[in-house]
Amino acid sequence: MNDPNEVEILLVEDNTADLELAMRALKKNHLANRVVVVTDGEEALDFIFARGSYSDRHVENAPKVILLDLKLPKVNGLEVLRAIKSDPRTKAFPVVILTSSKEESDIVESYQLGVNSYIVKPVVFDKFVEAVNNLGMYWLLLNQRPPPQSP
Amino acid sequence: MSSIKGGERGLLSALTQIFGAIAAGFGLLTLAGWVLDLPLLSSFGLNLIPMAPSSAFMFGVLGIATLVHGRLPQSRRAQRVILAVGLFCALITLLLFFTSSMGIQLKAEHLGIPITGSLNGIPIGHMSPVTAFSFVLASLSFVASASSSSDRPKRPTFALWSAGLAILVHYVLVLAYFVGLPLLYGGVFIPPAFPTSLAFLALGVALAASARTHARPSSEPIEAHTTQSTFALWVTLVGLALGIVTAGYAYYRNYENNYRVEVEHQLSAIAQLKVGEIARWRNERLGDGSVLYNNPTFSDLVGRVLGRPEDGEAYGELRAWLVRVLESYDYDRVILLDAQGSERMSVPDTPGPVGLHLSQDILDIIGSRQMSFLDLHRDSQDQPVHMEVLVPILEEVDRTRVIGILVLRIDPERYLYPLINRWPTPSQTAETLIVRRDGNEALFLNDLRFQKDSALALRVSLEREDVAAAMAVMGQTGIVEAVDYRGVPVVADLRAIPDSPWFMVARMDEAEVYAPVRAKLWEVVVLVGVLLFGAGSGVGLIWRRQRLHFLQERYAMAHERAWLHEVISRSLNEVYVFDSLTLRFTFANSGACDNLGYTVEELAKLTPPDVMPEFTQESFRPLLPPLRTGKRKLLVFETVHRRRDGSEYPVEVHLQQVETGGEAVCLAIVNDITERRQAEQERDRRAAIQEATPDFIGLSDLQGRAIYVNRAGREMLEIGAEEDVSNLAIADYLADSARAFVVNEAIPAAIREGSWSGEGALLSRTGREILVSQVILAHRGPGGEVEFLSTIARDITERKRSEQALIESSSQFRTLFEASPDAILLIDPHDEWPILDCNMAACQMNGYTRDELVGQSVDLLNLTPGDPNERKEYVERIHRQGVLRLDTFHRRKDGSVFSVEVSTSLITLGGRDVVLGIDRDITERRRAEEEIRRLNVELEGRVAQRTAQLASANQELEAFAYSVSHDLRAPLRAIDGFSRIILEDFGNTLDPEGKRLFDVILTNTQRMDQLITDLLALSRVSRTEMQSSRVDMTALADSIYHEIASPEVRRKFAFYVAPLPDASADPALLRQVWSNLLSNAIKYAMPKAGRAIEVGGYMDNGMCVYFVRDNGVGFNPAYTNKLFGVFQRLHKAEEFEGNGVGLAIVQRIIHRHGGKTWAEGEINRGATFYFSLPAMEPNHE
Repeated sequence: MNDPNEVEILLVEDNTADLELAMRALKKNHLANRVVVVTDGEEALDFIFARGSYSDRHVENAPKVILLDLKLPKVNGLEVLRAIKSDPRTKAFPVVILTSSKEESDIVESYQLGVNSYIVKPVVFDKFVEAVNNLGMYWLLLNQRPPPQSP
Repeated sequence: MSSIKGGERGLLSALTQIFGAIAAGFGLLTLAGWVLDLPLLSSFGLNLIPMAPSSAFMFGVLGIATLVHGRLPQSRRAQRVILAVGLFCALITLLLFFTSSMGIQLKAEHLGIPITGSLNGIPIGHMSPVTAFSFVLASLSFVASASSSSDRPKRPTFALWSAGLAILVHYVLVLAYFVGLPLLYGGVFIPPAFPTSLAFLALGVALAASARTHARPSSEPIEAHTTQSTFALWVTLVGLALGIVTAGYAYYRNYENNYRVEVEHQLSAIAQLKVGEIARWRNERLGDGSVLYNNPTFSDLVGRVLGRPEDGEAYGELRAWLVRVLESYDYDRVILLDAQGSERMSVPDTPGPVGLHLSQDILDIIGSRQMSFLDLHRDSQDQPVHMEVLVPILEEVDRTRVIGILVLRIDPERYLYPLINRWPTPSQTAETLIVRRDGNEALFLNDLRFQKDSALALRVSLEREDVAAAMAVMGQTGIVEAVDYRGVPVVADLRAIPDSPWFMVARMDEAEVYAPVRAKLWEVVVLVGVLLFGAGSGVGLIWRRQRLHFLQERYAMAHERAWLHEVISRSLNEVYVFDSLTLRFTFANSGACDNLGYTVEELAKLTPPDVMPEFTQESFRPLLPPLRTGKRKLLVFETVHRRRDGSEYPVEVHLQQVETGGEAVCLAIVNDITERRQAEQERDRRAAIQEATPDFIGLSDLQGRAIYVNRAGREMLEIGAEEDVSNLAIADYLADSARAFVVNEAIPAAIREGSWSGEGALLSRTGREILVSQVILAHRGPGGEVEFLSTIARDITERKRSEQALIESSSQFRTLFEASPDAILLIDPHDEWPILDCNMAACQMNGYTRDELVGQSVDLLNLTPGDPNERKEYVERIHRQGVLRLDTFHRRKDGSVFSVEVSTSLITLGGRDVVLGIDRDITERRRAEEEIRRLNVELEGRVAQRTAQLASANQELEAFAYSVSHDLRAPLRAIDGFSRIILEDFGNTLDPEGKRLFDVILTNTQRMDQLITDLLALSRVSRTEMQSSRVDMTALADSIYHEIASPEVRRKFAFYVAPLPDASADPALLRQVWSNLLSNAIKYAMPKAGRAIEVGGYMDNGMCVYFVRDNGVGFNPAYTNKLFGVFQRLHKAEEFEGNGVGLAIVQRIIHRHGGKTWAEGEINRGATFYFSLPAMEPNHE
């Protein structure tokens, strides 16, 4: 990957098939340049909080958007979300939950924790591509990211 | 305000109008006279100045103006017009006054009528300065009257006085005219004409009357009256005086004239007589002479005698003849003269000189040969006067030759002078005299009465035109007033004695002539004086009496006033007078001072607002103007007075404006109405009580006609609250059952005793009978007679009813008491707590008879005797709580013990506290209770078990569903995704069949996704907790429809939602229901034309039923029961997509709510799907 400080999208996905599909969709939308992929919750936290193998990162260099799956090994998506949103340094980072679960409880819990958006992965691939495109368009181009906080 | 009363005013007004019209009439008459050339109309008399046309015009104008003023006193416009007219007249006449005073005659005065001529040197047709001045006065008077108002009180006075002055002046002038001595004639100015003065009188009266109507005397009425009457008296006196004087004067002049005429007649008669006699006498003498003149015998004799003087016989004969002549004709001497004039014979026989006089005459006679007289003459001063008749003796034959002259000498003393001197009537100065002209003088021929030796001696120059003798000689005849020879004024009759050179003057001294007249004058003067005195005394007496009366009245008034003042001062009412401008108090009576607590001096510095806290200067002042202008006579209002010490009391104020002495002051009479207020309030309170009481109160007269019925009574009888009751008869409102009794017994009893009380019945308007307990009162008037009846009635229907009910219930109670299966005991809660009474059940339960129980202490039944402290505590508790229930044990008579539930309460029976105890044998109950308890516990355990089971099952399901939704989908996504990738990336290497195969894969993955979704939904329905709330079904259906159908879809459909009843259900689940039903309807109606979806609902038997109807492809009704099964479809997947789960979900949801689902349909005829929900309870929220 490129410079860990220059990250646009943080993609948290454990399923390889899903991951491949997602990357393909991103590539199709020309958004694959600055994507960092982590495959479990713990790694996600390491990245975000610039610890572990990502200690050379700066916390305040937030990705433009964090795409978070819910069902993750080690630390599941909601926990990650909770961690992000309860830390004042990272509270403002845009987090989009991208999951196949449509459970109401999941949705409610996510919003309670302060997720910025909740997207259900469509089974149909075309729709999935379209969803990713919209995501990209919105979060990378349209949305104003929060200004980096000085430490 | 004015002292003029209505009638007087009417009279004055009438006077004004009438006399104004008269004055105008004079003017018109004069103008007519000018125009029609009838001078009498203008002057009213010959030789009198006529009224000038200008005067006539002014009279017309002023007369009409006065008439209008009197006729229309109210019309402001008219008044303004005539005021202008009056001013105009004043100006014009002022101008005329100046011009006429200076003697300038303006042609304009003729007003275009051609007038020429003058009267006695006075140019006619012009206004006299007196007239002009009078017009000025009249105009000013008129203007003053017309412009007078209450602000200018002096004007009417001025008007009155100027009118009076005009009246006075012209009254004198008129009087002068009446007595024939019009004034100012022959003066420098034009005198006023007779009609003018008359017209002025009329005008003056009119103006005076008009002024009077405006009079506002400024002094007190009584004084005004006095002034007025004094004025009247003065006017009367002056008028009387003038009248008397004028009458006397007229009478005198009349008398004078008459007398004069008489005297003149007398003189003339006498003169005529005398003249006749003298003439006759002269003729006689001539006659004497003619006897001898024409006598031939005598002539012959004379010839003989004269021719032959020696002829003694002839001489003697002649002589004898002459003697005869002498004696018979009483001549003084008879002388015969010859033709030469010498005396030849004379008889008597004394010689005498012929006289110088004769000589001339002799010659004349010889010449004329006619007889003549030789007028009176005197030979010398001391010789007597003689007169001769000269008779020429003509020759017998030659009658032309005078041979001798016979001289008959007359001694006038013998006859002539006595004749002359004789005066038939006794008179002191009258005489006749004869004179003749002698050169330039008049010569008196006889001896005058007052001057002796005047005969032929006294002369008067003819230049003395004033002397009667001279006038007579100059040829004047008739009666003259002249001066006689003494210079004394005489009245004389002058005549010429015919055939003689003599003139006769019959004269009498004026003094004598007028002596009787003078005497008369004195008489008249004395009489007038007496009359004047009488009039003056009379007037004076009247005036005195009036004065006295006035003073008496005045005294009485003053006395009364003083008394009144005293009374007012002492009055307890507060009386104030304050100035209407400064508002300061000028008078306050003792009542005022006492009530307010101020002294009079202190009050003098205060004003009404100072003592009335509700007013300020600014708010008080505006009250006064209406009083001042007279718009309101009296102002009455209630307010509050503040005393000196600050306390206040309510008052009623009467405020009015009073004019006294020309000033306007405000009078306030104030009553302390504290008591009245209190009485009013008391009365109001009483009335309120009367109105508020729920009992009927009514008042009527003795005949039973209602006068008053209070509010409760009206309600009772169902009469309107505002209705007038005076038409109602009490009898109409008595119930039939009670009427006879009330009328015949109750009312007479009330009248007898004063009041009656008992029970009766009233009848309301709608016929409802009301039982009442009634009191009837009879009210007596001042005379002791009963005048009014009143009644107070209380509706006792309820009471009666409750009494009845009580009686019934009492017996009911007894029955209940006895019949009750529960044991009932009545216990006296004192001392030993004895049983007062008990019912059958109590006896049976405890095994005693009633007699065994009644009177015994309740301890008999209890296991342990009661503790007094406990009992006391017990009573207190029961007071607090009301009912006490406890489970205890009782012992029967046979000693057996049983469980009993005792419910006790404290009641009052007949005024005493009694404990009511109801005992129930609860042995059986106890047992049952135990059993229940045991069962309950068991049940609890089972329930807990089940719940736990249920909970764990739920949890499992939860986890399952979650994992399904998440985990099952992921591989699906992979299948779909990668398939697509292959298609994308390697599509160009595949043939259509290969692509088709991949499509099948893709389609199936999608289907599976849908299946998973549906199954999840189905399971969720069962899992989730239902949360019921009120759901607006109409809105929900509509919003779901809009959610699931895109705009293009909606465009294709006709969608109709009827108002649906609200449901009580889980909103989320209901959303699911609607969503599934509506999407089904859309799906199955889409292929057909005329797509329509209808949603409706209705209530049915406690359930809300809803339906969704479409006109789509419908279904075969044979398979209805399969519709709601899971995965059951009635159409192939190729026809319609779907898994067959939708309706199953709907059914599961509705069943969970306790409702039902069902459907109707036909192939191609659409379908209707129904579901029902329990209706909401009314209080459910």
